Amino acid sequence: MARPLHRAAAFAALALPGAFVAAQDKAAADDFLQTYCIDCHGGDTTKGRLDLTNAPADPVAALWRTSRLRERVLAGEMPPPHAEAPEARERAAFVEWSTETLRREVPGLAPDPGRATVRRLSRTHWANSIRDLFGVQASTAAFPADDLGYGFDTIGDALTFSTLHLEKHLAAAADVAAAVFDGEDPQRPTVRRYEAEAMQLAAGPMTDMAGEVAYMITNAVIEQGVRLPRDGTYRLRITAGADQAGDEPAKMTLRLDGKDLETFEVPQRGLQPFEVTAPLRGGDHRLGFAFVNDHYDPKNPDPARRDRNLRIDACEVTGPLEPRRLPDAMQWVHGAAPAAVTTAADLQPFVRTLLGRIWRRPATDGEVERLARLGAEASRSAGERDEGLRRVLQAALVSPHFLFRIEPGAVGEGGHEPVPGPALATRLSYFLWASTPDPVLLELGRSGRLHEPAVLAAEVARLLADPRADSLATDFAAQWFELPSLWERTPDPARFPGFDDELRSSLRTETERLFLAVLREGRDVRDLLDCGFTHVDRRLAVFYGLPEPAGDGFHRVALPDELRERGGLLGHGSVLAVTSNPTRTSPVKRGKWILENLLGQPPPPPTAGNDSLRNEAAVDSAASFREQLARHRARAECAGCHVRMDSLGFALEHYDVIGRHRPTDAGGPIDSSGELPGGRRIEGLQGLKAVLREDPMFVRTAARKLFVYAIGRDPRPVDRLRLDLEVDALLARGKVGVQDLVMAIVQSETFLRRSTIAK
Amino acid sequence: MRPIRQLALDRRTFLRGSACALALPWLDAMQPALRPAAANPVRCLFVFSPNGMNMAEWRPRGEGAEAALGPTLQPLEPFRGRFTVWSGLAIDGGRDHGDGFGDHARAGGSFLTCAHPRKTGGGDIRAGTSVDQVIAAKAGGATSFPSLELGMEKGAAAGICDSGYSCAYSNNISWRTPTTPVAKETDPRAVFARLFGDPDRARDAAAARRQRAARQSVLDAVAADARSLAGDLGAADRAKLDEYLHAVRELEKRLERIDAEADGQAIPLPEHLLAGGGYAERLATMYELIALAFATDRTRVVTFMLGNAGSNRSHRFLGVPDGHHDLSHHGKKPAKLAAIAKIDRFQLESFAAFLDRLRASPEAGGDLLGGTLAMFGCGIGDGDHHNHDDLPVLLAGEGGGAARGQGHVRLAKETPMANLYVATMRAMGLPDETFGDSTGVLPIG
Repeated sequence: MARPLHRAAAFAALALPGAFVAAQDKAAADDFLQTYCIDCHGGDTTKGRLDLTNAPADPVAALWRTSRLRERVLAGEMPPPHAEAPEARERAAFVEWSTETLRREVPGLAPDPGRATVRRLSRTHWANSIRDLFGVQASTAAFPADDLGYGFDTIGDALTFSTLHLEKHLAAAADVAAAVFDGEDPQRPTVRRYEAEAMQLAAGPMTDMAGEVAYMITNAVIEQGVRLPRDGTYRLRITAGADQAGDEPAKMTLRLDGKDLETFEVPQRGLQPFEVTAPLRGGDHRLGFAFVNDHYDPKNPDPARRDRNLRIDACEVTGPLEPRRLPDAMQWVHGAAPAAVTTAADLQPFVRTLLGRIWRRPATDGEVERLARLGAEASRSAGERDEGLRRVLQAALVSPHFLFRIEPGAVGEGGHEPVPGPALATRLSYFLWASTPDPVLLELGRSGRLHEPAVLAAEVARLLADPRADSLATDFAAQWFELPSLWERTPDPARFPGFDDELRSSLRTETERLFLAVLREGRDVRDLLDCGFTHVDRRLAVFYGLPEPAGDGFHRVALPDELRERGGLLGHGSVLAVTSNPTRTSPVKRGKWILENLLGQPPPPPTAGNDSLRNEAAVDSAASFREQLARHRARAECAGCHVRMDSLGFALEHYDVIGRHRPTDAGGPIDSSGELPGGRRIEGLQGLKAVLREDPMFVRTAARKLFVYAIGRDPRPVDRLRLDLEVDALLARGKVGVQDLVMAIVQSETFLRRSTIAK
Repeated sequence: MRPIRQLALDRRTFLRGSACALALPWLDAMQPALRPAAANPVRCLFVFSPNGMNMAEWRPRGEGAEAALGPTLQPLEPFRGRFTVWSGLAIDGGRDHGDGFGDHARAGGSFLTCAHPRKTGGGDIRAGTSVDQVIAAKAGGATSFPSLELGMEKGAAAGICDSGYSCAYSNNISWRTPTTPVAKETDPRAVFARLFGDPDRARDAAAARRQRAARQSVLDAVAADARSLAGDLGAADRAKLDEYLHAVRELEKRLERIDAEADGQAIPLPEHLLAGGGYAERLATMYELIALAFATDRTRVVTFMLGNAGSNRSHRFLGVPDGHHDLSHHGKKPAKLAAIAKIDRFQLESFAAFLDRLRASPEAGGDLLGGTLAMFGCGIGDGDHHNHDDLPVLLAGEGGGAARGQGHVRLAKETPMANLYVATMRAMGLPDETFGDSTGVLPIG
């Protein structure tokens, strides 16, 4: 519907869209641009590459320009301080005209859902999927870091795959398969035998490891790494012998991960067994075997009693001794496994069930046959059923059908179509759970019913109510607010002691809890900016000066008046620390963080020759920084962004590099006030929060961040125009919950449909 | 062979770079068994150091073989005659070309590609194919690992890496194709396990062989999955599948090679790899592993990032608590310049200790350093200026006779770094005459 009507308008060259807008409003808007903007953005002078005399022919581009103009005028950034300022009434009229234009014309834009490159599972997605498929907690520490795009690890183009990834996935999938099908026979617990002479010598240079035993002639320690499949009772049986001397027998201490487990007296020369039975945790351990009481008495009349030495032959670790209790999450896969495997046909039903779940779609006959053959062959050559089951599982988990979220098809010319049901189910679950769909969701996807609006809405509600939706806090919000960066911040320990990993972890959890509270309690997303409570554990309570909570873990506390500023994420130590330098706070970084993450208006880079970061690094205290702000104001090319950015950052100056409150800085008073473009003053953090709460850009930005996370690409102008309109409609209604924003995205054509492309 | 792990290695000896012959016992000991008898291969290493250098302390005084080394390069004094420092090399692709900020991301993305990385926050990333990958693709087939990509830092955990650039540019210097960066390994223990097998898992040769056979069967299956998909996808998605298939093929080749080699060559884990340690210890260990990978001919091409581009690491162990990147914007303040010089000096000490390792490792007709081209450099000159010309670059080793230490050589301004890469490619046996924006072959010999 939209067509640029500017050619018919009075100021034809100004190119404003406005098919349905009253002619006089449009004339006034054109007048506004002509009076206040055209000097810098028209004809010969086109600052910021904006030429208002040059009309975009494309309706999306025309509306996009209108939207950008609206944002800058609304924020008071344009016209800039040095230029002639419009009256508030004129400014409001322009905003109203542009708002109305967008509201009328954006819905008429041609459908264009776009598409995102196929996405590999991020490390988080992979680990969560394994957890939800099998109840196995698998570590991704060995995986290469996922490269981020637009601040998130869900961007297909940035999620590359290289040989290193494949190696890590092969190993990790083998571990998962071994955890699921551990080959245990309750009648015959697994025996692991380790020869002492092949162990690692941790201490004792005189030890001889060249023979059949480890022969320790002075105090020594040998070590062995052991991987245990699960928690359980294990029997450790060591065979050892000793040469005796002095008045006590040789002593051998068995250590587990560096701690003494048992000390045995080894009384005779011949090898004999020593046993201990102990409850051990599953996973990797180091067993240590120490000779602890060397004795040397060369003058002893009995040559056989002159030197005390220890010989260790081997250690056997047997267990777990109790039969396995299958975790609930594994019932489905064990239930599908055949009792015995002799032919590929025996395995086919199992493979079909397995793939249907792991690959998030029904498998084809060819796929089933291929993996069934693989598994049968493995079972046959190993003579063990579980070997084949493990092989199938490993191959299924390394397959591109699991590791990538493939949405096949969609090859055609220039049209668009609904995404296939299973792909929609997958989009939804990785958005809301950062994990694989459950069987209910998969079935709705398979049958196609998920595309019915009522079914879709019900599923969104069900998924959000599930504990797995905590990932919106721990994965989405954590990335949004850059919380993982806490581990990259290294405040100078001399000046900011105690900033350890435990504190980092607590700070991160506090902010995640706030997001969860907003999500779970249906609060307005603007409560993220300001609220009367926070969540602390003991460590954080001390950190903030709050009364210590009664129990372990995190507790919600109502904030007393003097700590009211701490309510909302800008009062959290996490955000304050993430935006600081190692030795001092950075109002510019804090201001930039707010602009990027809360207002969605990343400042453009400084003009050539005005590397602000360089200048910033050259000053060391906020006082001289104030002087620099004054310089920023004085220089037109800096003022456009810095007046706003610096003012936002200064409001946080009462909080130091790690987020502690400080009454003074370097002995001097702190001025946490600032003045925004347009003259509005900000007084401290509470003042800043009030400004941000009122700004519709915050909720729009929350929606955009969700979009990037969910869709896997940056929103294009057409996406943003549509999304902003949805958000504005929500804002007009009043309260906006996370649920509302999620629904706005899930119900959009971008989520439900995709553009088809030429092959 | 007696288990080598019994010989405790004093890592501080290594760190100090003392030329003590005892520093290398396990590396020496395994060479007769593992080195192929044929003519010595040529190896190349590319070391990337983030944030530029304090150039006043870096730049040698005078020219030629006798040029006086400044404080930063002083650790190379014992290698006089075996390295060349160039002044005047430039990477034009790192400049903004109208793209504005993001010099660190561009420094990473252009360092070995000499391309101008496309400015994007995540979609359609594109730099160029890097020189190490060009070499690996053509000359890497002779070893288990056509190339090895190492680094000291995983990728950034959150946020935007640099001014509108995807983190892919800051975190990777190796690019297999213009759109595919190669992930790097940052854990020394995992590097060892990759090269020589996991010492805790597969001690006995028969079990290791069975495990490889199992792996092979799984790779066959997943390759079939990937191939069956190819026809059903658009171009961007197919490119992703190609990344996957390439990984499968490379791993298959490696498994075949290991099977073809004699079993029972398991290299015991050097004891000190088990220890954790801070940046300095891990750095020394990584260099040690590179030396080991070269000595055993597991690979001939290695890239190594001492930090990701724009790294803000704090070097407290040097008495430098401030972030490296923050410091690099020194504003000519003497205290900051001195702190940067400390970091630079430390990096060169570590590099010199590595060269010492190579030199102490004999090889037919000389030493391992003689068969290696070890390049060390930055994609930015002075961190305060973000300049991409007059870069700090040096090349050590003779590369089997292709190179000769020339001390300090001043080149014409704007001599493309790509000229050095062409010379390196030729030393590695490639016939190429050009790379990236090269204008000729830098005389390295």
